[in-house]
Amino acid sequence: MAAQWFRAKVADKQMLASKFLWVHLELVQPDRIEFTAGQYVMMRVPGIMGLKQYSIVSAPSVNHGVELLVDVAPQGLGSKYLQDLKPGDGVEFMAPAGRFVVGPDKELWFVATGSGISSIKGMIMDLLVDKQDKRPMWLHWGLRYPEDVFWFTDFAELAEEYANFTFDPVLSKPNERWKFCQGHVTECVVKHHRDFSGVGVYLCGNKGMIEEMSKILLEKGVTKDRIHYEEYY
Amino acid sequence: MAYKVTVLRDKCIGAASCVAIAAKVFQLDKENSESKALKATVISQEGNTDDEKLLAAQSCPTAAIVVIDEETGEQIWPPK
Repeated sequence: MAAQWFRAKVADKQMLASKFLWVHLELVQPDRIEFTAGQYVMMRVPGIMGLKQYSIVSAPSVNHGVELLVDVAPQGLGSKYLQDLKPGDGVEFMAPAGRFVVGPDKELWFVATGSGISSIKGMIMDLLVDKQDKRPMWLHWGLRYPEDVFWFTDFAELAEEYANFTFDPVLSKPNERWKFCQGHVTECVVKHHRDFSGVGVYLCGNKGMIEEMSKILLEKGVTKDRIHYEEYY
Repeated sequence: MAYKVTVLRDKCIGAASCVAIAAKVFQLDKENSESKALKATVISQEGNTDDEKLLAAQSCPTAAIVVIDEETGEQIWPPK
């Protein structure tokens, strides 16, 4: 679908954990959107020349609105704008855009840090719930502190319900009660996998993670065309 | 068309915002025959308005698009 302008209004917003803002925008005109999981919207933000990119968290089956997720800790103009929006406020964006979408790989590994989960959550919901995709899928999601954790139950429940989905939450600075993988998310990926053949890896998060993970994957024999990452992140 | 756009390929990360905003002017293509990475390129200076070309440039996350006003020679984007 070619990108077009949308007007939408804030239906709901919520702070998740310590620093993540979730926003649900309900479409006004046009009132339906078609996109591929993993794509993003480009929003008009007062004070910013040009449009600001935000990955769509929701799956394409939710075609009457879009959900966004932002790490507000950096306090940029975009995150401040979204933070100040109130339910009912209007926004304008162009969508869909981007080419970070799932390919025909035999097995899918999703690797995210922080709010990089945004586009990946949409992909996972689309594949598992809407398409009943049976390919083996892993989510390795790195956060820093225990107080940063959110959507843990959502992904844990998906892992219980769908035998082909494995959730690997990772903290780099855990407390003594953390029972899951610790360290950099890249280390946990290597810890969990021995066979790197036929896998497609989808990376979204900080630049350091994307560079480090790509380097490791290439060393393990994963070809460049099977390493996908969100470029604007 | 008063605005002429140029893509700085070494800065382009292939995010494709420009293609979404001004699809008649920008497209993605391979950097070279051996590369799998896609980068933006200018296929025409026409087909989108000057405003759309400028918005595409301003929305590029790496400021890889330069906009020049052909009539005055002034660089409109990025600001010098």
